[in-house]
Amino acid sequence: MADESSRLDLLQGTLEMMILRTLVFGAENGYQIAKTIERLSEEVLQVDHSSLYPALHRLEKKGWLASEWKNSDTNRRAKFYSLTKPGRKQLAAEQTKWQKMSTAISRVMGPA
Amino acid sequence: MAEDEHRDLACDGAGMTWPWNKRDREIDEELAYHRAMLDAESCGGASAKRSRLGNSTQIKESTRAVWGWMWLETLLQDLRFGARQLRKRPVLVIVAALSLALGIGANTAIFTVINAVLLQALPVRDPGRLVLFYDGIATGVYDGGEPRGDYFTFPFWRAVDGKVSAFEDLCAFRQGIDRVTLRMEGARETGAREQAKVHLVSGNYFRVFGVDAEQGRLLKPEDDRPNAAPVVVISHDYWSSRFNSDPHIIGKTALLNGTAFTIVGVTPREFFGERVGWAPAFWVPLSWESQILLQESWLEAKDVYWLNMVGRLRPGASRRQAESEVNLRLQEYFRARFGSHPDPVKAREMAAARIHLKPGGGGISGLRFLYSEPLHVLMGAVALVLFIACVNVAILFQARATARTQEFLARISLGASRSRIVRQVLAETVLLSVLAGLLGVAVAWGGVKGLTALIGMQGFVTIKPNALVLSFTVGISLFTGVLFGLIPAIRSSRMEPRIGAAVRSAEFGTGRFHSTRLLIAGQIALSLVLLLGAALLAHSLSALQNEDLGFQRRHILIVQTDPRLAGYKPAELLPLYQQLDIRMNTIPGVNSATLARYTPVDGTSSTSNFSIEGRTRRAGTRMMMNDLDIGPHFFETLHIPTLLGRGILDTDVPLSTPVAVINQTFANKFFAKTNPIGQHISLGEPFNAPGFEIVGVVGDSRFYDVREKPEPMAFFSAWQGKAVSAYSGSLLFSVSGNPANILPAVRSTLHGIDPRLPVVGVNTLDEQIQHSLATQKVVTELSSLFAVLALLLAAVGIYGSASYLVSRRTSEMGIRMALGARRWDVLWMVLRETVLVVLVGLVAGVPCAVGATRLIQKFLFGVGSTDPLAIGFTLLLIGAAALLAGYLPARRATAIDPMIALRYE
Repeated sequence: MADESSRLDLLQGTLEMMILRTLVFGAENGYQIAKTIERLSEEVLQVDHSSLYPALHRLEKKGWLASEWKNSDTNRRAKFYSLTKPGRKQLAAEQTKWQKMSTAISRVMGPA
Repeated sequence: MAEDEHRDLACDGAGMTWPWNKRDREIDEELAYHRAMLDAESCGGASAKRSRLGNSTQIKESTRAVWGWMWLETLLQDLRFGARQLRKRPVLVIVAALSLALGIGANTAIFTVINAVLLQALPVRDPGRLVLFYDGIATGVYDGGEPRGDYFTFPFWRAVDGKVSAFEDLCAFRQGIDRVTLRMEGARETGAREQAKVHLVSGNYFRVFGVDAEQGRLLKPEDDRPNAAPVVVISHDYWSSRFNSDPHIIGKTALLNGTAFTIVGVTPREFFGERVGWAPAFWVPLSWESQILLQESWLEAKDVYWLNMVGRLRPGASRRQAESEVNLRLQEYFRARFGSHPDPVKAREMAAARIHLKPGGGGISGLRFLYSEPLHVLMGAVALVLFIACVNVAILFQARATARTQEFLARISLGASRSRIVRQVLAETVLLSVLAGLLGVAVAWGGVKGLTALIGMQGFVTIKPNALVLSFTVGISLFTGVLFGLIPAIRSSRMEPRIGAAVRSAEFGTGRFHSTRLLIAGQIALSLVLLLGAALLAHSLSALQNEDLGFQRRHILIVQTDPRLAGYKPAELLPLYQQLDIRMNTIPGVNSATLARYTPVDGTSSTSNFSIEGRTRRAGTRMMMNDLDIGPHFFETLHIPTLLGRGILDTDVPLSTPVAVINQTFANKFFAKTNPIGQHISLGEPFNAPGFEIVGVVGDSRFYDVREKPEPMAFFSAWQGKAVSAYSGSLLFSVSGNPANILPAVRSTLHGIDPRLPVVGVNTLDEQIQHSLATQKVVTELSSLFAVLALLLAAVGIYGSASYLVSRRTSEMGIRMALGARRWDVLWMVLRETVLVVLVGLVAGVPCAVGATRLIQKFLFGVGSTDPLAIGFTLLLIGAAALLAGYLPARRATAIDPMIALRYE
């Protein structure tokens, strides 16, 4: 449970990048993706659910995600997303970009 | 617990599965699942997290937006909404749609007809390369004084054909269609003579026009030689109607006036000749002219002008090149004919002579000539009507948008985007315009049919509403609808909603109403223009119809026969004429009967130059007169007074002195100082002794055009048969009662004299005169129609905006009346505005109207464009209509109980 101040606004692009990342480990539905991101970030990042689904659908429209309706472990039907091959390529590209950017920014900001 | 699990926004009432429906349901399901999981979390968890799914509707919208079907879906939504809004206000819709539809339809109809009659090229190959020979100033070429097409002689054509390098080919054809008797070889000889119309053309006629045969072959130059085998070409229409599309028509023999011709081909369906509105049954080579016209051959005649000429320009050649070459040939021709040393007068005339070449692609059209101006005038009138209609729509929409301001403001404050509001209004207006457009198509169709019937073109040219024009006018109305629906909507949507704003009428003031006022004033002014024009035209028509023409016009029957078709040779005519005279005058019911070559106002005219014995004419002028061959009793039958001497009598036979009777204008012009009786004149020049002795002077009459001033005219005895043509076939009967009553007696008399005599036409003189006024009638009727339409539309506009005006001020009116004001005062308070606007419109309109009516000066007769009676009448009419339209809503408002009015908002 993070407090308000440490909640970071996530830019649309970074949310998409993180979605792609979480799906490396396998298909997940929207709820699970949100939970994964929150968990991996150790509750620092709270996913704004109102931007989650538009992002998922955008990714699906671009062809980086594929979707499938399956029964979830709670025995309800849910839509599961998985990475496609172009999606994997895109993820790799984004990761490289992110590395470059964060290194550069760190350099600017200097040691704390 | 998914509250919106079953709320299926995407599924419309009919439950149709659009592509987005499925996706919408999936999105719903997805979000429902997520919410369920969150709920499960908070139920099981220690602390209840706020549902971080947020505004589910918004999430749904933005998710759906990703998939891009949104635009179509919103469009459909907008359209449905627009339709519902329109349904709520049926009166508005009907009025606006009808106004636009009438404007669209009328415009399309007029322009379609204009296009067909005036602009369309002949259905031939490359009509742009055709040129028509047209006489500007020339001597030796018949000059009828009117640009009605120009005639040349056969020798002239022969002299020019093939000698002008700028022409690929040059053809000549008879100016006009001729009637012949028709009998098919092998058919029984029946008593009744069948007739057909033929057109005499040169052998290369079809080649010049670039027409190919539908069956068989068309005429060739070889067919036009003196010793060629007689062949003819038949028209598609005649072949299908008269011969039932006989597949063996080629090779059959047709006897035209007794001469056998072989049918060698059929023309294509769309080819009707070069004259719009006259379709011949057969085309016959020129060489057979004397057999067709049943007279001596004109092929060698240097003085008979009976041919039109059309040439096809060589690719790369220009009309100007061709024209200069043609005129060189003209001069050569003159030299060959008149010698190299003609007298100085002739030489001067020859030098001044010039032939002009006009574009011939449109064909020669009597209709074109006749109707070109009226149609253009009507086009102007109709455009005005369309304009008024558009203005009406604008006014109506403006009033409506202002009325809906509250609705818009409410929606804006609830979060609707302005662009969405504007889009919805747009959808409404587009729907309306589309509806109007569809109605307009129906109006256009009917309008074209009606118009072609009015001008008598049905059956000759198929006129369908022109797609181009239709789309143009529909586009205009769409544009208007959009523009005038949009502007107020945008304005309204720009307003800021204020807290607790009950939009009171007083807030708007009069500023916003200016444009409406101006529009209405404009409508009034335009209606004034149209109405004044119509009033003047109506006055002119009535004047024309009652004008004294110099002869009796009622109770005269005209029966047209043709001795030539019956086989009479000129020498056999006298006994026939004598018999006709005796028998016709003894028919019971006939006061007097006579015979003439043509009748008043029947479309024929005959002019000749002449000379007077003992006089030399002034150089550079020509003495021209109208001429007519008549039988005895002519002047009595038509009630033309004899002023001096006598008329033509039955003693004026070939063996006695050739005589002539002149009219007053002739006497005044040429015998102002002397007594014309006893003088001699002859046709042509110089004077040809013994000429015709003038034996009488009669009163003037208008023989050719109801509008014209009488011209010098001379009458000759048809019995002496010398003047222009030996054949006179028009029989005139003066009766006391209904002319039609004696028709059976006339027919049997004719049959009794000679069964071969055909009855080619029957008419009354009155009908003939009416027919000659046909253009005038058409223009008058149509402009009256448009004027009334315009006034109606303007009145509707006034009614609409007055209603709106009144509704805004109803509460005010209620207050005043509750405070004790009299009904009339309150009424006047509201009416004042309307009256002011109408006055402004009328005042502005009068100078416009007077200026505009100058354009129709040509059609006015007996009345000037500033006729005070007409102006006063139209002012009164418009004023009354406008005031009534403004008064009605005001009256309704004052009739309401003040308490109700007070609460009216």
